[in-house]
Order: sequence, then C-alpha cells, then structure tokens
Amino acid sequence: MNPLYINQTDETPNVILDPSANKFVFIGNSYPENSTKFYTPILNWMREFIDMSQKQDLAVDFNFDYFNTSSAKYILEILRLIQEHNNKGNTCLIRWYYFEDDTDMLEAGEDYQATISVPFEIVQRSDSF
Amino acid sequence: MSKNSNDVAYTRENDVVDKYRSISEDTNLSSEEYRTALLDVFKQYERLLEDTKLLTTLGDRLQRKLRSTNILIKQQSEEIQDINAGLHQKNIELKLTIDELTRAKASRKAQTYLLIITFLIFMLSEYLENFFDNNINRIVEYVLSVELGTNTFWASLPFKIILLLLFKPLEGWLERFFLRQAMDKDKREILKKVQSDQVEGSVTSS
Repeated sequence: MNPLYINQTDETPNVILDPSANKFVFIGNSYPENSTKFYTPILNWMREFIDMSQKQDLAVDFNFDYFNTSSAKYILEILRLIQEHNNKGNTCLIRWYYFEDDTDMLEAGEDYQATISVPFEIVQRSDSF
Repeated sequence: MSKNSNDVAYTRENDVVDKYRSISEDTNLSSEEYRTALLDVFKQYERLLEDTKLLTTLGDRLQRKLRSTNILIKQQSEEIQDINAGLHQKNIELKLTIDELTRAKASRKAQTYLLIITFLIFMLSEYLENFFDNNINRIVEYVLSVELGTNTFWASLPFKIILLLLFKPLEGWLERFFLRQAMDKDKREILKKVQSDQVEGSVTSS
C-alpha cells in the first residue's frame, strides 16, 4: 500500500502514514480552514489500510500543539479506526505526546484514552522530539 | 440522505440516520424487529452522547487554552509597549546627553584654539604698536603738524579694541565650526555602520 505524506503548515499537521517503514505520525497544529478537505484523504487511507492489511501491528504517534474542535472529531474517528484494527487481532498502540506545561493537551489525551479501548500511552514531550 | 452526508467525520452517524429512517418507514416489520432496531438506536444514541460529551469537553478545553494564550499575548504586548515607551524616553535622554557632550567637546576645542589665536593677536598688537610708532605716527605728525612723540597708545588703541571685540564672535564661530565638524563625523560613522550592516545582511542572506 502506498504511504501517505502530508507536509506540515501553520494550520495543519505533518502526517506520515507509512506501513513499510512502520511509521504513523501526526505532528503540529490542526486547525485547517476546511477540516473535511484535510482529513478526508487521511480517513480514506486509514479505512483502506484497515480493510486491506492482513496482519500488521500499528503504533501511531499523535503530537499536537493545538487542534480545533472539528479536528478533535476527526482525531476521534482516526482513533476509532485504530480501535477497529486492534479489535481484528492486531497489536495497536497510541502514543499521545504533550509538553510538560501543556495540561490541556495532557487532559485531551486522557479524555481520548478514556473513550477508546486501545493501549494508550501519554508521553511527556521534550523539545528535541 | 442526511445533512453533511459528504463529511467523512460523520459517516457513521449519517449511516445510522439513513438506516433507521428506512426502518421507521417500513410498515412490514414485526414488533420484535422494531424492538431490536430500537435497542440498536439506543446503543448508537448512547455512543453519540459519549462522543458529544467528549467533543464538548475537548472544545471547551481548547477554547480555554486559546483564551489563556490570548490573554498572555495581550499582557506581553502591553509589557512590550511599556518597554518600548521606556526605551524611547531613554533614547531621547541619551541623545540629549550625547548632544551636550558633543557641544562641550566642541566648546573645549574652540577655547584651546582661541587661546592660540589670542596669543597670535597679542603678538600682532605688539607688532602694530611698533608699526604705528615707526610709520603712522610720523604720517599723522606730518599731516596734522602735531608732536605725538613716542606715545603710540591712543593711535593703536582703536585697533586693539577692534581685535578685543572680535574675541567673542570668534569664539562662537569656532564653537559652531567644531560642533558641525563633530556632528558630520558622527553622521559619517552612522552611515558607515549602516552600510556595513547592509553588506553583512546581504552576505548572510545569500
């Protein structure tokens, strides 16, 4: 399956979805003017990946500085897709990064963790990430 | 099809709406089938409620974060404005001090030169006295047929007074001259610094 790369902008995160490198990363801000336009290819890719892949473990890094409410909904959908993959017998892990002083992002991770039944690590982030 | 059906974030919710709308319109279903559908709707609704709670909480939190960031930016902006105002005031004071310093330097230099000029004028006045004694007095004695003898004091006095009166304007002129010279030097140095900064900037950017 072809990887999906989306370059980072001020308003959108850097997205790397590369099964061959086993790298699944979201880094940066997420407050796109049109969230649907931005997240539709990501959700479609994830859906295709989950439907096509036979057996592949998945560790996804979420490293957001800020995201808006519509992005929050799309993140939830991505997490649900990961959960679906996990329920199929694949080993999945979600790593949620936050800065030490960013309690809002920490609590957002905790909220997602409480909603999704997938192994979920909340990791304090250093500047050198 | 429900509203926003093209929005993939709500695919699941749209599917639920479409599915149960068609069930509700189907009059051939048994009560047991309706009950099963109702239980399923209940589960979907429960899940939707969970999502709504989560997204509301997240939305509130993000809003709070944005608001606190805005407040912080506003405070920092005010602090920067205060610092800028202070710097502007200090800058004015510094400029006044530099101007006074330049003026004082020019004044000191003018006084030094004036001292030298005074000495030269003194020498000149001595020469004039001698000159009057040897030439002018004789001419005056010849023309007016009066005896002035060797007393050249009154004859050379007006010239000495003129020279004396020239001191003050000369001092002012020298002061202005050196002040202008110092300011021109400052301007040249500033211009040179700006030009070298521009050259450095273009080298860095290239």
